Amino acid sequence: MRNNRQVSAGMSFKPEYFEAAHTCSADGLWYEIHPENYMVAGGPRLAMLDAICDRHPVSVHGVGLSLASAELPDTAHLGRLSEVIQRTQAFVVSEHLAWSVVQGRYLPDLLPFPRTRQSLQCIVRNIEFTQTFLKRRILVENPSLYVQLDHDYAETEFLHELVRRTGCGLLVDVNNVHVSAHNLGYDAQAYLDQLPADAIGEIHLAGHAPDAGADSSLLIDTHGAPVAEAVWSLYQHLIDRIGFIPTLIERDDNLPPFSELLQERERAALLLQMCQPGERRHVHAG
Amino acid sequence: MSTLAEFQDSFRLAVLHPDLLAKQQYGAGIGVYQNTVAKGLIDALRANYPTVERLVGTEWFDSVARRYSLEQLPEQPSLNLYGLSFPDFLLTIESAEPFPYLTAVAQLDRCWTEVFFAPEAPVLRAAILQALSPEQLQHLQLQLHPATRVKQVAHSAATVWQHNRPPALPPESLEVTGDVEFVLFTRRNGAIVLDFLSCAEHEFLRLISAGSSLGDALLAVLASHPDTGAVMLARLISLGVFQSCTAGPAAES
Repeated sequence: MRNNRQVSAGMSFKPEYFEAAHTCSADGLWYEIHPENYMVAGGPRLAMLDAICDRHPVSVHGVGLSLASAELPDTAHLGRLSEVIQRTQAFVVSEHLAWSVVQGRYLPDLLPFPRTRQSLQCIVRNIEFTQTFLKRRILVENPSLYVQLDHDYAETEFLHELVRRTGCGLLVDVNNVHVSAHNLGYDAQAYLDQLPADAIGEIHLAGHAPDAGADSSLLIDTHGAPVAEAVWSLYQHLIDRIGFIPTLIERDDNLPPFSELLQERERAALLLQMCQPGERRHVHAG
Repeated sequence: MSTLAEFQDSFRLAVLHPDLLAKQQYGAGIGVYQNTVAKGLIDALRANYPTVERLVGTEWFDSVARRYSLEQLPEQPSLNLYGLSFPDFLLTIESAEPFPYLTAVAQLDRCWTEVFFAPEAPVLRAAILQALSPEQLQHLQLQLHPATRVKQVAHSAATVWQHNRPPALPPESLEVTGDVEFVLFTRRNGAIVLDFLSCAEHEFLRLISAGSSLGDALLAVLASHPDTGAVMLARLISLGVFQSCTAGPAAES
């Protein structure tokens, strides 16, 4: 049944939400998981995941593949990722334009890199390697950025090249666009306008917060607050241009009651519903 | 311009070892990555060693977890089982000396995590053994269920653990004998359960996991604990300690 259900707006799945999430029957609802949390041999956590997948479409959003490493993705990790994808019958699989693995050691963050010709070649190779291994297309997410580096490409140019050379799709995190544009001083709306509409397969909306540091004016992508109004405006602008795209309310920290997150999710679902029918893309689970 | 690999080596150092140079090179933003990485590592250890944190306090825990994580960066992005050597690392911390049970408590936290994520497997039921002949029983090689852990700890660490493992509320006071304790972790109906074992039960399970046949293990335990026998085996089976066995056609579950 889940394979034929259309997905519209979804929410991050958290074990704390299991009961409410499992029984919620909102139209078009889906859940996103971080596969790393489920790379285990057995036990209650996998049982919980199976129960969610029995009733809802699920997307798999990795944080550990390290696509922007100079090294190739780890095949052991890809194997475990593949198991989670199979288990959940994920309707979409995504990862980040960032790195976290260096010399076989993992740093739990999504780290930046200079967008050079050489890094483009590495990342194209890594995306192709991943898509070949998984036998499916992945979506690549734009990062939230906090430091200025010496780039050869604008980020939107870089994403265009990745799409053109690997056939991957894009996951547009509108909050990341807002945060990075603020931190590095560019125009968020112009950034969104430059993205290749046809490649966009998912949108993320999340909350951010000002950096607590006294001498800092940075915004931090915390996933710990409601989606800001500025981000909702950018989202409206984006879907006015590209139409109906499955959209996630992403929350990982400072978790509110499920009902509060559901309300934010309803807001996104309503905006998606109001997209022009001609622009509606029929994205199905499965 | 440096290669991607060179950049990543240098950025890794800036992230792991905050100093003025890193801030001069990358600006205030490097602090966001430094804090996120440090918090991610410490939180992964916190998730796996909650009783240790409860006993020593968050500030002490965070500082020791930070030192450990810098020495033992994860080798894979799935952090569910991160911190295998953390209990031993606690032995090297001088300020842990007032807590002689701390490493043992950490080992018990570790057992809990391993049992929580252990593979599924059918549990041995008594009926399977009842269908076997005395000779088959004698030579039967029982196996511990993959979600079974057996542990011997000093300093009453299991009692300390049991009363302090979150979400249990910490006791106002806890009297302990300081004795050696024997415990068993199993997974029953999706919950992780701690049971205390007798010395004989512990010895028996130690022999079984070292490869002794059922007959040999029972004989050895009877020699040192003459008051044990079939009742002990029945109790351990009822606790779901063993994996279902296939000693012969009669033993198929």
